[in-house]
Formats: sequence, C-alpha cells, structure tokens
Amino acid sequence: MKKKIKFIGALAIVLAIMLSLAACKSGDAEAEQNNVSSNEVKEEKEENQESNDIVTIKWVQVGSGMPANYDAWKANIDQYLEEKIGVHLDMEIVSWGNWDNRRSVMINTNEDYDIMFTNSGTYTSDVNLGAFLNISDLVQNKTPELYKFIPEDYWEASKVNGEIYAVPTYKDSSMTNYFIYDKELVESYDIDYTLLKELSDLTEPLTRIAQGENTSPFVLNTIGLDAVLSRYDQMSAGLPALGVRYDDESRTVVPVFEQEDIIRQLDILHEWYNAGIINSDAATLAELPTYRMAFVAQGWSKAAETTWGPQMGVDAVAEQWGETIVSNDTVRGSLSCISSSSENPEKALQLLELVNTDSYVRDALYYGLEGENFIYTDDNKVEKLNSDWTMAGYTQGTFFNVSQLVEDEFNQWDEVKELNANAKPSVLLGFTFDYSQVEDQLANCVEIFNRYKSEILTGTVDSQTQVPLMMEEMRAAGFDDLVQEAQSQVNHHFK
Amino acid sequence: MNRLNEIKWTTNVLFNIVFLITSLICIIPVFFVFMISVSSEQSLAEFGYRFIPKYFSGSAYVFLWNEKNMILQALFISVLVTVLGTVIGVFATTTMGYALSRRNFILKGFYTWVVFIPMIFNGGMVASYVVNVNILGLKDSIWALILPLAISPFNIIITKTFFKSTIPDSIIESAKIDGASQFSIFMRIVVPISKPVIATIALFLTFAYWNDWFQSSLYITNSDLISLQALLNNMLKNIQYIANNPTAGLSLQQYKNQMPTESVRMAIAILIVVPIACAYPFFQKYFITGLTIGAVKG
Amino acid sequence: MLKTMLIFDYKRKAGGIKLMKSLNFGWKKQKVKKKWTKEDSELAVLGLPAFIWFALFSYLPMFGLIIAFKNYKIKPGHSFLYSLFMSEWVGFKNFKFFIESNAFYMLLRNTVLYNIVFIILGILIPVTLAIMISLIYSKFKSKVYQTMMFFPHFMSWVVVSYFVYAFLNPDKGLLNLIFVEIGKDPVKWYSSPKYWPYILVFMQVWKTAGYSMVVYLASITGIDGSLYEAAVIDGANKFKQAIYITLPSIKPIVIMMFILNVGKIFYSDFGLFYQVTQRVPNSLYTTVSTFDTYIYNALQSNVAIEKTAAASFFQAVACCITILLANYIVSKIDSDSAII
Repeated sequence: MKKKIKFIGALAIVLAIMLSLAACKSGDAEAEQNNVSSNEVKEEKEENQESNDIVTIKWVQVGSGMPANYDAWKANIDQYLEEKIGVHLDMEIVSWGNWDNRRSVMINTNEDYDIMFTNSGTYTSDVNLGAFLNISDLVQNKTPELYKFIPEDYWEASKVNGEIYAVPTYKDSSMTNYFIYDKELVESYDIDYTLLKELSDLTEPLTRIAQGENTSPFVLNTIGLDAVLSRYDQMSAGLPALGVRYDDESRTVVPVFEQEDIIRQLDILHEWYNAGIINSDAATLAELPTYRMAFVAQGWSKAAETTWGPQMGVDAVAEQWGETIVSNDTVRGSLSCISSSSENPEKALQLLELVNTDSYVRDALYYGLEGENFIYTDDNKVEKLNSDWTMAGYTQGTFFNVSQLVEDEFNQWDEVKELNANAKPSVLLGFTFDYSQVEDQLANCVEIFNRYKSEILTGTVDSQTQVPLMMEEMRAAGFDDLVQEAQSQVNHHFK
Repeated sequence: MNRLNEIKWTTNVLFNIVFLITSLICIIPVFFVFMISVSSEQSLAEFGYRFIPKYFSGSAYVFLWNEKNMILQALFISVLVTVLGTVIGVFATTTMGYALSRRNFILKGFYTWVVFIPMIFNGGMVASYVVNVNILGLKDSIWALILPLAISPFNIIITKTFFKSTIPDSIIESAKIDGASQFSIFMRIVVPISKPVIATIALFLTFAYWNDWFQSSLYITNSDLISLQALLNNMLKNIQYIANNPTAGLSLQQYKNQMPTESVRMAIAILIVVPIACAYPFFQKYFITGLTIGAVKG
Repeated sequence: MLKTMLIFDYKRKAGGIKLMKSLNFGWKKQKVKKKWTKEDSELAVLGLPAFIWFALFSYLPMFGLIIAFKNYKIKPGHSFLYSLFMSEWVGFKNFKFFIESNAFYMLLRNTVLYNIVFIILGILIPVTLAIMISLIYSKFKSKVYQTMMFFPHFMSWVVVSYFVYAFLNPDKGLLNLIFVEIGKDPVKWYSSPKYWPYILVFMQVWKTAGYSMVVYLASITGIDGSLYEAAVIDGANKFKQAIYITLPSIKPIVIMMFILNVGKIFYSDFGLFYQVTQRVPNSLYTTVSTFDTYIYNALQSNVAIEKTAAASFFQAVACCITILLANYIVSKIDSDSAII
C-alpha cells in the first residue's frame, strides 16, 4: 500500500513537472513560429518587397553522405545563387542506409527544412499527414518557367486530391522495360535477342543457356520479377494486388493477380523456376549479383552501352519489352516537396526552377565543385576529375540540362526524352486513391501481400495454388471493400 | 579451491573437452567471416562460401585501406565517445546506486520509482528525437552520441544491489560518527572497495557505446562525427536502399557501383569485431579478479 | 525501527511548494517522525546527476505516450508538440487496429513462447557451464575458454546473419554443399519453417551463453571457500556441494536476471528474428514473427506513427504487469530477492 502511494505520488509529480516544462518549451517555440504566419503568399509578397535579405534554403536529400569539400562547394555556389535569386543553400545529405529512419522522424516531427526529397513510397501518406505545401497556385504563378518546363502529364501525376504537392524530377519518368543480355553469351548460343518480345519467347533460349552453362541464367532476388505487374496502375496505394490496367478505358478496378495475362506470366515464372532458369534461392536472396546473364530492368536501350554493360563488366544488349508507360508511380520515382511549414516557399520554388533550367547550378549539384571534382572542357563538356562527389543526381532535378561527359559519344538523354514523349499515359494518371476510410483493410492486405510476394514473383511456388490462398486471406481482410471504395472514387474522379 | 576438494581427473578432462567444443563453436564464425573477406568475388560466385576459398584476394582490405581517412576519423570518434560516455555513465550510475542503497535515505522510495519506471515506459523514438533536437539542441553534436546512452536502470540496480550487500553498515556508521559527509564517505571509502562493480558497469557501458550506430544514424549529418559502427553499418545497409526503391528507375541503379561487394562487407564485419575483441581480455583480467576481491561479505 | 508514520517531502523543481503526505496505518505504538537530515540532502545531491538525466532523457519524452491515442496530423508552421496536442483524440482506436489485426495472436504466441524458452535455457545452460568452468584445474585454460566464449557477444546480429546465411544459403551455403557431398538432398532452409525454432534457439544460446556464464561465474568465485571445506568434512561430494552451496549462493543474482528478463517478455531481440531469418520470408512468417518484426515491417510500409506507438505502448503495459507480477510472486517466496 505504502509503495503504491509512493509510486503514484512520484509518478504524478514527476510527470507534472516534466509536462509543464515541455509545455513551456513548446509554448515558446510555438510563439516564435506563430510570428511566421501560415498564410505564406501574403508573407512572401511582403518579404519580397521589403528586403534584399538572403534567405537560406535547407534541402534534404539522400546520397552517400555529406561531401568532404562541402564547405568550399557551398561557398562557391552560394555566390552564384545569391546574385541570381538571393538564396544560400544548406544541404543535408543523408546516407542511403540511414534514409528511411531519418526521413521518417524529420517528417513526423516537422523538423525545419524547406525542400525534402520524396518518392512514391511515402508521398501520399506524407501529404495526408500535412507535411507538404500545396504548390498548385504557387508554381504556376511564381515560377512559370518551371511549370512550363515539366510536361503537363507529369504535374498531373504529382497531384493528390487534385492539388500539386511536389515538383517531379523530369528524368526517365516514364517506364520502359527491357530484356538485357550478355552480348557475347547470346551470340555464342545463336540467339537473336531482337526477336524476343515477350516473356514466353525467352523460355527456349534460356533453357538452352541453363543447360549449356549449368547455372541459372535469369537470377532474381526477393523482389522477384515485379515488372510483370507494370501494366497495372496501382493507384499509389502500395498494394500491387489492386489495380487498373493502364490501357483499360473503362477504368475497372480489379484484383491484379486474378487477371488472365498476369496468371500466364506467373505460370511462365514457375516453369522457369522448375527448369532451373531462375535461381533456387531467389525468394531469400537479398541482392542481385553484379553480373547476370539475362535480366529485366527499366531504362532506355542505350543504357546497355552506358550503364548496364559497364556495371557488369561485359558488353550488354537490350530489347524493349512492352510499351512505354507513364503513370503516377513512374513519375513519382523522384519528387521534391516543400515543407508546409517552410518560411520561404517561394524562394525554394525559385531554387528548384533554377536547378531545372540553369546548367551551371545543375552541374554543381550533379558533379560537385568545379576545379576539384570536375572541370569544363572547351566545348562545354564535363571532365570528371575524381568520383568523390557524394550527392545523388537523381534526387535533385532534371537530367536534361546536365552537361555531358567528355567520354559520352552521344547524348543518351535524347533517347530518354523521346521515350518520355511517346509514352502512353495510364488511364489513371492524376488519380490518387484516398484510403483513409479503408486504411485498416489496406494495411492488413498489404501485410498479407508482403508475405506472399517474394515466392510468387520469383516463381518459387505454383501460383495456381498460392494465389488463391493469398486472395482468400485478403478477401477475409476486406479486399473487396478496397475494390469497391477504389472503384467509386475512380468513377467520381473521372466522370 | 582446496586440493582435497577437486573434481576427479576424468571429470576434468570431460569438462575440458566440453569447453573446447563450445569455445570453437563460438570462434569459428569469426574465422569463417574472415575467410570470406579474403575470398575473391569470383570464387564466391562460382564456389559459394567455403572455409578455404578457391581464390584468395586481398581486394576487400585494399578497398577499406583506401577509405582509411574516413575509418580512422570514425575510430577516433568511437573511442572518444566510448571513453567520455563510460566515465560519465559510471559516475552517475554509482552515485545513484549508492544513494539508493542507503536504507535510511528519505528519498529512496521516490528515487527508486524514478529509476524504475523508464524500464517499462518510454516515449518512443519520435518523442526522444523531438526532445533531443528541439529542446536540447543536440542535433549533429557529439553529445547526442554520448548522453542518451549514459545511464540505464539495469546498471543502477546492479550497483545498488552490490552496495547493499557488500558495504558493511558498520564502516559507514563509524565514518559518520567521525563526522564525514556522505560525499567523502562515497569517494574515500566506498569507491576504492567497489572496483568490481565499477569494472562491470564500465564494461557494459563500453560495449553499449562501441556497438551503437543508431544514434549516429538519427542525429549526425557531419561526416566527421560518425562513429565507427555507424560508418560500417551504413556500408552494410546501403545496398538495401536500392532494393527497396524499384520505381526510382535506372538513374538510381547507377549508384550500385559505389556499393561495396560481399567480401568488402565481410571485411567490414571483421573490422567491427576485432578491436573490441582484442580489448576484452585486458578488461577481463580486471573484471574477474576484481570481482573475487569484493565478494567477501563483511 | 518501526516507522509507522512517514512524511514525504517533495519539493517541486520550479517552485517552492511543499507537498506533505502522511500515512497512518493505525498502529497504536509510539509514532516516530522521520526528519529530513543533512545526510538526506547529501544523498539527494549524490543522486542528482542521474535524476537530471532521467528527467531529461526518460521523462521529458514521455509525452510520446499519447501519440498512441491520437490521429496525428501536422499543423503547418507549428512545433511537433503543438501539432500533437491539437490532433484528434481517438482513444483506443489504434489499439483496436493492432489487436484485431490478422496477426495478433500469432505474434503473441511467438513472442512469449520464444522468450520463455530463452529465459529457461538462459539460466540453465550458463549456470551449469559456470559451475563446470569454476571446477576446471587450469585457471589459465579457464580464462582462455571464457575469452573465446565471449566472442559471440561482440558480433552484431547483422554480421551474424551474414554468417548464418553463408551456412544456410540453399545454393552456395556450406551446409548444403556438405549435404550434397555426402549424398543427401540439399534443404531449402529459408523456406522450411520446421527447423527454425531450433535454429533461433540455438543462435540465441550461442550469442548469450558466454556472456551470462561470465556474469554467474563472477558470483560463484565470490563464494567463501570455507563453506566448501565444511561440506567436505561433512562428506558431501562435488555434486552435492554444487546443489547445496553454489546454487543457493548465486540465487540472488539468478533471480534478479530472471525477473528482469520476464519484464521484457513481450519484447524480442529484433536482430535475431529479423536479420538472421533474412527479413522473415513468407514461409517462415507464422513461425518466427514477433511483435517487434511486425512493428518494423509496418513502419517500412509507412503505417502512421500512431499505430506503431499503440503497439509499443501495448508491449510496455503488458511487460509492466508481468514484471510486477513476477516480483510479487518472488517476494512472497523469498522477500530478500525481490528487486522492487
């Protein structure tokens, strides 16, 4: 009894003390921030007119860590930015391994930042949390250059509930899948890879290679061959089992894994697994080996020469598989979002505009410090002096104004632009599924899917038996509610 | 032990065999990891993981040697944080443990609950982050690596138990009669005979600090302030980022080149384990003999 | 000294209000007032560093506990605390989600059962080993064994998982290579749930036995040698000595470790269950998932922070109840050993 009272007394008093301290502190912080009104546009107008103060824009990205020469680099670029738009930079580059945790706490605790790199995995939930600023009006009125530069479709794809919350990174934002092969290998087996257009076409050649080389030519890891699902727009819900076929004009929401075309693909995968074409540890393999004889990847055909081949250390060739699609997910691979609590959203947008239109700024972010990390050659190409630069270009802005490297014989970005231009937009472009009414069912279904996905998408198990099991579990968890809710929203959005 | 009271010779042999086997089971993994770190990538791809690789290669260690500046800086930070943290932690833990061990202390109940409740309830990662960054201003500071780990209720209970059972009341009472304050009693009487528990707590704290990478991952951006574990753990985990972000397209995949190979990662694991494994026997001497001294009940 | 009336004197840190609580249990004996002495001040100051630490790093963040009860939304331009306090209160809705989720009972079963096995083995094995190692003739050999057996403690689970994978990889792992060479079929380890309880228990014991053994050994070497001499005179053999002298002498520390581990029974060692299993593939899901792996997976698929907060809160409350229960039971049996 004594102890109980001591306990309650101690707890109560300590908690009271601490909460009051916390309330005081938060009160102070809040008072400070209340001085910055949440009506940004009005404030911005005042600020712009009254002073030439340099504002510091904080930008958070993922990369390999802070560059060693950050201070020198910052001093250099700050000079330029100061002249152009009156801005100084403050970059925080979080390493790949820390990104998930760090981003999550920074967003959830609403830490001070202006621009945050985001991708489709977390975009909609962060918007729903209230973390990002609605820039629909701002970007059109204040930075029209930026607005014009990025195609309309891509702005559409960045919308949530009809409003724009991010500046998409205009790069390989459409998705084209390719079959990629080790050139020498396929030639030695007399395989004309240009004729192999569908998954089923590959069965015979790959079987021959498997027998001849006595190893699995088509290596997969736990992700499996998720490219088979790319024809279905998943509405950014995070549940690949729920989607609309990208070219389905009727916009019918369906259980993806029960669709004919998907079933056929999965059967092929299982066949391959049994024949030894796919490695037997696929479902537990965390990462892919550097060299693979044949694989599927997103990109562009010239990447075989510039990226895939060199990465593997051999000559590679690629053949397109299916059409080029642009959908919400493909565009959202890299987004720059402005904090809803940012004090200088307009300057932040201007910075993003500059990054996307001004090659000097773009190169500085992409390549590093001129003179230390790279130099400009006479014809305005770039020669890299070392590979110390740790910032990740794909998080920052478009690739189309990045200066070319001297060693590039052709501009591979031209092909990317063309692919983008000819991409087929998904019928659901611009639609984001608002799952707040069904979030429990969605979370449960996602959890079920995550368990089954590796084994189904690597062909490890027979999908004819496993898929019905998975769907049964999902239906018990409310899958049909999801279909219903999604369909009604789709119908409403596109009426 | 008295010579007359020993176990039989055959039992001794049996025990020795048991321990030999268990010790080998404990050591072999480290040896195996080391062997993988000196295998060539090709050997791993073709022949799998073997105790004796088909092809040796020192390339993993060469790769790490090229990063030596970063690694040495991180090592320095780890050592600094560990030493500072252990000193601070031992001081705060033993003082509190002592205070709690005094039966007549008026605030004993209160302090006991203060120490005990956090063992069960904690505010969570998000709340701690808010406090550390917004209220205490520890972001990107070395103190973010030191302070949050300095004290654990578990350690305090250990010290309290030790003081209660090992320090005879008579000594304290006679010192009080002589007019000594609790401070001087603590410093001049209690601490010198508490070497065992101090060594124990110091050991626990050292391990906690040396192995920690989480604090760096959450609070540190400045690459000069990362601890060794954080640096190496980063290299081990960064490959997962690419795996987890398929929609980012080829422009992300290009970074795979910068990520370390399998043998490099094994070499990193060796680098993490070996320094402290070497330091441990040094501690152990102190730890075990110290414990035997202090264990005689008064 | 019977103190039947106790006066507690709490000073509020920011002000000077004294709160007096007096408890009277109705004893008719003479009441003794406990006064605040100089000694108490000195002791209070001694404990101050730790107290301040707890205030800042444990109690201040405790507002985080309310995240579990809210539907957290950011209020732009305001601090986290403001947003949190202004967010909608949803009572136990987040808990409902957690408890009614597919997995709850399976997670509960796994987490608790594994922990029970770990606790039992975590006492039996190290204590036995500690007694054995204390009896070996050669002290030098004993030290060598101890050092070697301590090694697993240094390895983080990430590193251990690499090593386990090197053994169990279906294509290239050492075990399957050996199986093939002796003519047996290779086993798809990461797709066969039936082996994993044994694998996990083995790995847990492997990692912790050396460490626990050293802790118990420290206690054993402190036992007064004269006790053993007296036993020998009474004719007890080594085995009897172990049971009647050694074990009772280390009882306090064994019980303390027992209670502390029971207090964590709803938590699991994340590294063990997540890293060693290679991130819990589906086949192993119902066999090796625990609360902590579930929460982590939920975090990865951006479930909102209030849901994971509810799960953590549940774990904390459940553990609180168990540890108090365990302590109560122990204090009834042997009141010296209870730690509270």
